[in-house]
Amino acid sequence: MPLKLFPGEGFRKVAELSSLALMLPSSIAVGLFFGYFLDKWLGTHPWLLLIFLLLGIASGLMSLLRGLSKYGGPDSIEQPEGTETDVPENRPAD
Amino acid sequence: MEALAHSLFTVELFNKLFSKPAAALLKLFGIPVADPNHLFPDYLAVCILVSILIVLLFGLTSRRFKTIPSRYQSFLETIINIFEGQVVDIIGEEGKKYVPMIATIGLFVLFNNLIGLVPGFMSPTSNLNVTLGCALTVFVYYHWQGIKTQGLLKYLKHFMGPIPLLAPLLIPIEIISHFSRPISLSIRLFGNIFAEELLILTMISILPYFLPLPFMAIAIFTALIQAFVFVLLSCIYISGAVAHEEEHE
Repeated sequence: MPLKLFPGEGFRKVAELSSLALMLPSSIAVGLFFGYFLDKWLGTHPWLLLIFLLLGIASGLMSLLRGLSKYGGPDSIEQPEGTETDVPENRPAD
Repeated sequence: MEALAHSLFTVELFNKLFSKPAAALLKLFGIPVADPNHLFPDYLAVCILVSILIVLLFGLTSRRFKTIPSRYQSFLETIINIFEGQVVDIIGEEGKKYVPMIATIGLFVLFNNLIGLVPGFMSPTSNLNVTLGCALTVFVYYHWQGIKTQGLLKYLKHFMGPIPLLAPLLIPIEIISHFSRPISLSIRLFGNIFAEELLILTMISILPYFLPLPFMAIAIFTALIQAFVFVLLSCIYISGAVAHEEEHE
């Protein structure tokens, strides 16, 4: 019979969500790395660096959103009665 | 543990025993050796010792399994069951064929994390080379399994995304996101274990023997959690590579 080390869904969620924190910086770093070395190789300094930096940022955001979408949008978060109105009021005025 | 900054006596012993033969072997292949008396850095020596320990604990017992398990065998079966439960939970019943790989990586990371708490040893996972090695193994493995189950073309099609028009934009983005996985996987493990070792070392320098004890208790927990997260993410990556297209809308 399969066993579970940490029973309950909550713990798995914590582990999965904590993994998202490094998604954005590491994607940007990989994008920069690719751009830097392609630039060195093809001699197109600095264009590929900039393009791949943007691609890295896009990819980081995309994988971050993809990881978060598993937990649903704001609709799936159950809010207790009467607390929904708090959110717009607490926002600082522009 | 106090000797983290200097060389550890276990590593010294290991180097005394194996450094010269290994250096001679490397010389045979034409690889230059800087210091034949200290060939193995501490993390590599401890890593090899941990691997031998795992082989002794697990590998040799699995050679003589009995139908009625002894106390030790049922303990080992429990550990493997934990990994199996994790894999089945994420990949599903067909994921059972990945259990050997996942369990090996998980046990290696777990033992490497925990050995730092034994005096005279350090955690090899507090070195980026070790964690990057583990992460790259997972990286190669999940791509290989993806290609094996879906076929090369179908697997590569997975990178193009749902809309063909956006493919030129999505392919580099997907490639970057795949390459960022081993980076984040290795840096997370390295960062956590390195911070843990450094914290204990700092506490030792303030008040030896007593102050580090609560932090060492927490370190057991961190070691377990980090090994668990490593296994969990490996499972998620494999399930993403092996899964069929119906996941996309």
